[in-house]
Amino acid sequence: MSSRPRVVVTGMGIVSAVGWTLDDTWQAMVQGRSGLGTLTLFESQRCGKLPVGEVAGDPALRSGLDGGSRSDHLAVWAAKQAFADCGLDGSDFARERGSVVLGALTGGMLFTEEFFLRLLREDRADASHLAERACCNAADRVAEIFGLGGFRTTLSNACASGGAALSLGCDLIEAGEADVVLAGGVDSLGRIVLNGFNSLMLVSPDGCRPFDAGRKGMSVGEGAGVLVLESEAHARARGARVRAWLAGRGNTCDAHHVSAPEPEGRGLYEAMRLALADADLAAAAIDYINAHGTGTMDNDPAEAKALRALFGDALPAVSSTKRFFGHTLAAAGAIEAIVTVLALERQAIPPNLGLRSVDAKIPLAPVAEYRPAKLAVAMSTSLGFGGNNSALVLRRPEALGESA
Amino acid sequence: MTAKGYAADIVAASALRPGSTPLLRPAPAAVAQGEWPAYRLDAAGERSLSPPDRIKRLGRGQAMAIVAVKRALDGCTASPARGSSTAVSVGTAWAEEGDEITFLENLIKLGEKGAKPAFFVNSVKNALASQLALTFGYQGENQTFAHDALSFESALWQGAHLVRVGRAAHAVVCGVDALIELHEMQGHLLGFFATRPAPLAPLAAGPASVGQGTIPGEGAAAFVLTPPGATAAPLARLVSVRGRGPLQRAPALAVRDELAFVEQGLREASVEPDELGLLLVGANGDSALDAVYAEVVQGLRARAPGLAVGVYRHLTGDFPTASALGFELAVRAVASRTVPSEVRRVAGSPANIERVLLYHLASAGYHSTAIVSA
Repeated sequence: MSSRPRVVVTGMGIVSAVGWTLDDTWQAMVQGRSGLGTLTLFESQRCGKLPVGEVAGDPALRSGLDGGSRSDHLAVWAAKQAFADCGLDGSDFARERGSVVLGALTGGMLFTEEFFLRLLREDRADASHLAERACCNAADRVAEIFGLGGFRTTLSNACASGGAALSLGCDLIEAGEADVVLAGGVDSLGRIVLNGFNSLMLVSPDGCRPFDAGRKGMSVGEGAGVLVLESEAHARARGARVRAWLAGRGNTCDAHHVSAPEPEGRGLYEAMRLALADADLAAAAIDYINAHGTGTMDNDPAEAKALRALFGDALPAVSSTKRFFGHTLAAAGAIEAIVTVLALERQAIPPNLGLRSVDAKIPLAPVAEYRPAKLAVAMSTSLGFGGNNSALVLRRPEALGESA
Repeated sequence: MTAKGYAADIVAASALRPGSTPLLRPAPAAVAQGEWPAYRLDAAGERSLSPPDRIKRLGRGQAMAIVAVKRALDGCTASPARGSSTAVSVGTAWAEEGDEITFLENLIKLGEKGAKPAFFVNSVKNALASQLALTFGYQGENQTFAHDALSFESALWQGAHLVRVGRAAHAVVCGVDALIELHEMQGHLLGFFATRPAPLAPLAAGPASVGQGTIPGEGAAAFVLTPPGATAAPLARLVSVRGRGPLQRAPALAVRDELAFVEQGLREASVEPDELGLLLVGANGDSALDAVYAEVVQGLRARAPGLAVGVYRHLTGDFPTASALGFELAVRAVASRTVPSEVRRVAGSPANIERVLLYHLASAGYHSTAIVSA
């Protein structure tokens, strides 16, 4: 075992189309309730009938922020839950040692859209929200609210951003840069994103069905997931409850295509292999994999091939939870890491909602129904445009004692 | 990163700088009358930002980054290998917003049927880093940092961390931002940019140089990092890089806080002010910001009276990752032991430069230090 600090999860916060809390999220898993529904946020002739994972209600009322973009509100709400969940009161760590690392793509893109709608239709330049359109604002707002004065950054690794942000959070703790890291991801719906994916013919007209033979594409969603990371020693010293051990991570790039995954899943295979090595575990130790599983024609076979190549005939239980939330882009890796921790805690496998019949070309059989299971170690994977791959290995907290 | 010793070797560096004369272009009628100045790469003869043949369509920022990396590799004696041992770490606040806005304008003008997927794909912020991976075959960790004036510093920290802990043999680190009309509109509407066409004169003495606002710019810089001690004759060593953000929106910038921030950066790197051969600062000609810079400089020179001080934004204009271009000058200063001719010295006459401190402060309150040594 290396002597580097072990990184643990002590707090979590989430918001998505299935609800505003961890309990909402898990109840949706138990009930098999999808959050996909009708777009209400803006009008769209071509995309208005596509099911989306829109967060219901007004995020600004939850966040309490004065101003800010939809992404800012979602991120702050998730961070508030996470901070409350971890039991920090602000006096138990040096603020200069508190960091924020969020994955984000869209930021205040809705503000950019509104600026150009007015500019091009009314020849009027309304600057009122221009300062709030950057994707880094969410991390800034979170840092401001909790007074976190340490390393702060925004990762924009497409749909692998959330996983990469958690990995960077581990880096900061291991390097001695931070004692507490709020890490995760956030994204909100917008015209550019929805029309962008639709222009690539990647969006399903009837909601995503990951790994299904009849899948027709992804569903775009929005949300935020924030996890509080600490070294085990820091968490123990303050008597914190440890929710999980973030034991390993791996990140790679396919260098294959700017938007499509490498068809054999070689890059993801390598990311998962690195994550296992980082966790000092064999593949056989994994009990459950929360797969990226977008439901697109290209992603699912590539991911399945990577999983089969790494795990062989001993493939653990696999499910994609994208039909619950839609694809929440930069938030996906964080939201799904939280679902994975909940699965470890509640000892159950979230279902691969929407699965009707497995594609013969996909060499795996996802778990279609919610199912209790004995889970000790789990993996969460993320893939993104640009061939970015990220894999995380999460363990139940008892493993810290076993590996001491 | 506050390494004991140092964080990484720097074995290659290059920069694309716009040049010393801002170009004038008509302002959008909906925003202003007249012309706006901006530092553009076109002014430096960078029209040949041509993509490799196999890449059909690159955004401008992508082309800038690829050219910067190619130039860095041309002079590199320890070139990164294709494959998984080379990581890519890019800082870009603006990324390919030009294509994002083109996509959006098509949506608005042509309706949703006018949405062109190529513009959307390029608009994803990490398209730039993934084009570097595609072009050069780098399959290691590929990270894109988009955090305003901390973007490059984040990328530099991550690149150095990856080589230091052995997750990469080489890290290609890039800072790049491509200026588009939206950035100009935003900066002018929010009062950050000046309309005076005179070139920037950061920290220059005399009332003629003083004015409100700065002039926007663009550029790219690329570096190759290797683990400490892995290369026989690096250009320079990265001792530390440290970036922080404000804890409130639109903060009042306080000289005392800034001086403490810089001194903290020095202290964590175990460097005394009088060990510095050059202080390179990101002063951008804006009277309010330059006043803070000037007092911080004065405070440091009070502790190290011989400290030489230089500025560089008269060649780049102001943009979030301009600090990457300053970093390239710092590397060259250490490599050559002299002040690069592009740097405008505002104090001191350094000889045999072995250590350079970079200090950057943005009006939004982001600030950073980096130390480069021989």
